Amino acid sequence: MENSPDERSETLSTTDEVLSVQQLNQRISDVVDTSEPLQDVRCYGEVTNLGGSNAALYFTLTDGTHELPCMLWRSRYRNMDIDLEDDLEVVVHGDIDYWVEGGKLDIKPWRITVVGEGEQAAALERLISELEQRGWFDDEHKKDPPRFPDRVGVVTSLQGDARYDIQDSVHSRNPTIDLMIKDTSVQGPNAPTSLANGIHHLDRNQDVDSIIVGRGGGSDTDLMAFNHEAVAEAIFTANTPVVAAVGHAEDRTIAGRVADRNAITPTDAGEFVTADVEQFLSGEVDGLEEELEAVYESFRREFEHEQELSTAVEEARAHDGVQTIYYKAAIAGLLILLGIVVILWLVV
Amino acid sequence: MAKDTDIADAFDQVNEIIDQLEASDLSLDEGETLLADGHEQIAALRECLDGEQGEIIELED
Repeated sequence: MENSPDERSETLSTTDEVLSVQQLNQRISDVVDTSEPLQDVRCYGEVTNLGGSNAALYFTLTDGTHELPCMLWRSRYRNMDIDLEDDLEVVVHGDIDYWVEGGKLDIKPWRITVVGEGEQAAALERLISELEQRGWFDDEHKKDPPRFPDRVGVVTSLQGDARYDIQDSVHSRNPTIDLMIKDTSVQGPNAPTSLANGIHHLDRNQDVDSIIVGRGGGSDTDLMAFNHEAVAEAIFTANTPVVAAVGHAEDRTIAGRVADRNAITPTDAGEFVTADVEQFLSGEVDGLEEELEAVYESFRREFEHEQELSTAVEEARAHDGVQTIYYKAAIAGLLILLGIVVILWLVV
Repeated sequence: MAKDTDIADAFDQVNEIIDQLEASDLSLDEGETLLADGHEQIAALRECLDGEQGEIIELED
C-alpha cells in the first residue's frame, strides 16, 4: 500500500538520505551482482534485432510478448562456435548485469546454445506462405486510394508519435482533409484484435475515403501485431483502400504486403492518401488554364486572319468590277468614234 | 465522398472546350463564350480544392 504524502515526508525526514543517480544506480548494481537468482541463469528465447559494434554484439531475447536485452562481448562470441542470427531459437547461459551509467539491465551470456529455428519465425513463414497461396498479396486486389479525399481514417495509438507524423504529413499536402483517428493498441497481446476492430470500424463509415493503419518503428516483437492474420484479414476484406505505415523500410510486415499501399514510415503515409494540393494547382490546373488561353488566343488570331483575308478578297473583287466598267466605256467610246469617222467619210 | 470524380469531370469539360476551340468553326462570340465557360470550370475546380482546415476526430478504443 502506498504511503500518504505526510507519511512519505516523515520517512524522508527520518532516513534523511538523498542519493545521486550514480549512487542509486551503483546500489542497484550491487544488489544485482550479489543476487544469487540473477547470476548463472539460463534463459530460452528467440534472437531478434541483432546488431553490434566492434567490441560487442547486441540483441534482444524474446518469447513473443516479453523481451530481455543481451550484450555479448565479441571476444566471448569468437569462442562460442555459433553463428547468431535473427529468429534463431537459443538458450542463453549468463549473468544479469546492471549498467550503472545507463541504468539498464541486460544479460551477459557466457554460453549460448542454439536450439533451432525460432517457432515464431516458422509460424510467420507458414502464415506468409498461406496468404500467398490465397492471393492476398496479389496486385489484382489492390485498390487505388482517391487523390482528393474529404476524410481519411487513421488506425493507431492516440498517444503515439506515429499519429502526429501521419497528421502532419496528410495536412501538409492537403490541409482541408478531416482525419478520423481510431485509438488502438499497436503492440502486445490485445493489439491484433484492437487493430482489426479499428479497421472494420472505419471501413463501415461511409464518409471515410481511405484508411491508414500504422505505428512507429520497433523491435520485431513490437511489430508482431502487424503480422497477425486477423489484421491481414481486416485489411484484405476492407472496401475502403488501406495504406499500411508501419515502422521503417526494413520492417516489412504482412499488413504492409496485404495493404493496397505500403508506406515506408508513418510520415510517408500522406503521399499515398492525398495529392499535394498546392502542387496540383500550380502544376495541372495552371497548366490546363494556360492551355485553354493559348488555344483561345490561337483561335482568335486565326479568326482575325480569316477576316482580313475575306476583306482583301472583297476589295479585290470590287477593284476588278471598276476596271471592267472602264474597259467597256473605253471600247464603247472607241466604237462611237469609229462610227463618227465612218459617217464623216461617207458624207465627204 | 472523394472529390476525384468532380475534378476529373471539370478537367474533361475544359478539355472538351479546348477541342471545340481547336475545331475553330466558330464565330468570335462563340469562342469568347467557350473561353468564359472554361475559366468558370477552372474557378469551380479551384474552389472545390479550397476549404477550411480539416477536423481531427478522435475515437476511443
